[in-house]
Amino acid sequence: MKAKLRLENIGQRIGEEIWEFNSGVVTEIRGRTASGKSRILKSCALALSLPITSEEIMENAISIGIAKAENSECSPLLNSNKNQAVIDLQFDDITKKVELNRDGTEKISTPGNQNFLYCSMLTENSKIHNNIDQGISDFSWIVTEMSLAKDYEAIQEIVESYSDLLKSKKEEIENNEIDNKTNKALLEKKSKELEDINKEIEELTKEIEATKLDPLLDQKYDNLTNQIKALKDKQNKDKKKLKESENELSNVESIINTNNEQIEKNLKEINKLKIQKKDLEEIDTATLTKDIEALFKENGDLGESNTKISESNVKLSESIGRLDVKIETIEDDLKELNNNLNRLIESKKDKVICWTCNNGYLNLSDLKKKIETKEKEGSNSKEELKDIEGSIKNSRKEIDNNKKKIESNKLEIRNRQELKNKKNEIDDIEKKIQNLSGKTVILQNEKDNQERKSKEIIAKVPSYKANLQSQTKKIEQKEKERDLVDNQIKKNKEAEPKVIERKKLTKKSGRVEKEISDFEFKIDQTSNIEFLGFKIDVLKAKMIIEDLDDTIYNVNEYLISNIKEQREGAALKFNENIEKIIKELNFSEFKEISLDLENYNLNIIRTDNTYQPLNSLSGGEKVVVSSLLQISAKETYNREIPFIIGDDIILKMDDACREVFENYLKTIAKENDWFIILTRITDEDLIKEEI
Amino acid sequence: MSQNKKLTDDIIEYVESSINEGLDKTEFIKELRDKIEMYLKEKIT
Repeated sequence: MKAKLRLENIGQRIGEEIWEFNSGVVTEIRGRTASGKSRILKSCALALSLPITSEEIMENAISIGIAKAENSECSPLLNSNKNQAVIDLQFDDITKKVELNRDGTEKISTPGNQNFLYCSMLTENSKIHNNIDQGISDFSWIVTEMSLAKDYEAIQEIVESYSDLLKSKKEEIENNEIDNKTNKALLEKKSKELEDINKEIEELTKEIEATKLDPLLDQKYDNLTNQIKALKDKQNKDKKKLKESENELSNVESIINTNNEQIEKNLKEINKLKIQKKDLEEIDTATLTKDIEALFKENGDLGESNTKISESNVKLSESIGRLDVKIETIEDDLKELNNNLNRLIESKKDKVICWTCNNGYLNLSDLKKKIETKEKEGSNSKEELKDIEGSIKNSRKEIDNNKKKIESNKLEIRNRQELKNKKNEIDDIEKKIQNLSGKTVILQNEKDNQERKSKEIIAKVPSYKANLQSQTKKIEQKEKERDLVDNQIKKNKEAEPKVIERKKLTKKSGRVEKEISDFEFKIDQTSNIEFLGFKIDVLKAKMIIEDLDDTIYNVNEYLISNIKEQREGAALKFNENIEKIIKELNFSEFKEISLDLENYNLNIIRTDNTYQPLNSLSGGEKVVVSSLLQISAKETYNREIPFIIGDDIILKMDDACREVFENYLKTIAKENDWFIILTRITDEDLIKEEI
Repeated sequence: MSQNKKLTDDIIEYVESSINEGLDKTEFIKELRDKIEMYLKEKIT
C-alpha cells in the first residue's frame, strides 16, 4: 500500500510539498532540530483524527500542537503568512483532506477517528505519557474513552437530568399538598365567618327598616355640602377675578397717567427746542463773517499803530537824552558864568576872561546878558523836554488803549465765532425734536390702548359683581336646605349606631370575600403543577411522576450495567494486548503491566515480583511503558487506521530498549501492513528513509 | 404491557440504536423529550 501526503502552507513551509510512504515498513523522517519534521507527522495525525468532539481529546490535541487553543486565532499548523493551509492524505482508496483557515475554521472531507491521538500518536505530549510522567495511575478514562462506555455515560448524564427534574417536581407536589391543606382549612373558616356576617347584616337591615330611617339623608346632606362647597369655590374664583380686574384697572390707569405726564414733558421739550432752532436760524453768518474780518483788520491796524508809536517813542527818548545833556551843559555854563560874574564883582575889574564864551573877555553887562541868554536857553530846553515827556506819556496811553481795543475785539471775534458754530447745531436739535415727537406718538398710542383696555375692564366688572350676588343667594338657599336635612338627620340619630354597625359589617364582609377569593385562587394554583409544558392535576401528576421516576431509574440501571460491561470488556482486551506485546518484546524488566479491573488503576510488576510505582520509573522506562500502552490501545481500539506515528520518541528510550522497540515496530508494520512513520533528529537536511 | 414498561423499553431501544449509529447528543436530548412528552400526553388524556 502507498500513502501520499500533500501539504500546502504547513508550518514554516510556504507552498506545496508531497511526501510518499510505503506500508509494511518503518519510515524515518530525519533532519536537524526545527527542520520541519514534526509538522509532517502532526499534519498526518490531524487528517486521521478529525473531527474532535471530546473535550478531553481536544485538550490532548492542543497539548500535542495540532489543534487551535482557545486564545489562538487559528490552527498552529497554518503558515503565519498564509490564510489557508491544506493537508491531503491518500491511502488505500481513502482520501482525507483538511483545509485550515485563518479565521479558525476547518473543513474536512472524510471523518477520521479522534481516538487516533490517544492510541497512535506516540509522543511525549500524549495523554498516556503525561499520566505516567505525573505518576497518575488512574486509567479509567482510557476504558471509557476507547469504548462505548463514553456514549453510555453521555446518555446517563442526559437521563440523570430527568431524575433531578422529577425530584424537584416531587418536592413541588409535596409543598403544594401542604399548602393546599392549609388553604382549604382557612377557606372553610372564612366561609363560615362570611356566612355569620351576612346573617348579622340581614338582621340589622330588618331593625333599621323598622325605624323608617331614610337611608338617603346622609347622601343628601353630603350632596348639599358638596354643592355649597362647589358654589363657594366658584364664588371665590369670581372674587379673585374681580380683584384681578380691579388691580388691572389700577395698573392701566397708572400707565395712562404716567404716559400723559411724559407726553406733556415731551411737548414742552419740543417747544423749547423749536425756539432754540428758530433763534439759531435767525443768525446771519455772512454778516458775522464780515464783522469778524473787520475786527481782525482793526486789530491789525491797531497793532501797526502801536509799533509806530513805540518807534516814535524811541526817537523821543533819544531827544530827551540829548536835551538832558544840553540842559546839563547849559547849567554848567550858567554855573561858570555866575562864577565869573562873582569873580568880576569881587575883583572889581572891567573884564574877566570867560572860557565859556570862547576864551573871550566879558564885562559885567555881557556876562549878565550871557547869563540871561543861557537861562532862557535852559528854560527853553526844559520846556521842550517837558513837551517830549508829555508826548511820550500820551503815546503810551494810546498804546494801552489800542491794546485794550485789540482784547475787546478778540472777545467779540470769539463771540461771533461761537454764534456761527451754534448755527451748526440746528440739525441736532431737529433730530432731537423728531425723536421726541416719535416717542410721543408711541406714548400716545399706548395711552389709547390702555384707555381701551380700561374701558373693557370697566365693562366686565358689573357682570362679576352680579355673578357674586347671585352665587351668594344660591349658597344661602343651599345652606337652608342643608340645615333642614341636618335637622332630619338629628331626628333619626337614634338609628344611627345600627347603620354604622351595618356599614362596618358590610366592609368586613367585603374583606372576607376577598380573602376567600384569594384562598380559592391559591388552592387552584396549588392544585396543578407544570411539567414539561403540561399543566397536570397534583394527584394525577404524583402518580405520573412516580411512574416516570421508575422508568428513569430502570433506564439508568441499564446504562450503569452497560457502562460497567463496556469498561470491563475494554480493560480485559487492553490487558490481553499489553501482555501479548510484553511477550513479543521480551522485556526483561517488566513481568506484568495491566489495568486493575476493579478501579482501572495501572499496575506494573517487575520481573522480581515487586510493585513498580509510576513516579519512580526512569525517564526512558516512562517512554517505553507509555509507548507500549499506546500500541496496546491501538491494537485494542484503533486497528482500522493503518498508521502509527512517533514524534522523536524512540531516541528517548534506553539504548537496550530502543533496538528491541524498533524491531517490534518493523514487525507489526509488516504483519499488519501499517504505515509507521517516525522522526529522528540528525545533522542532515530533511530526508525520508525506510529502515 | 403497561405504559411504563413500554416507555422503558422504548428508551432503551433508542439508546442502543443511537449508540450504534454514532451518538448525536443534541438529537438524543430532543428525541428523549419527545418520548416523555408523548407518554405524558397519553397519561393525561
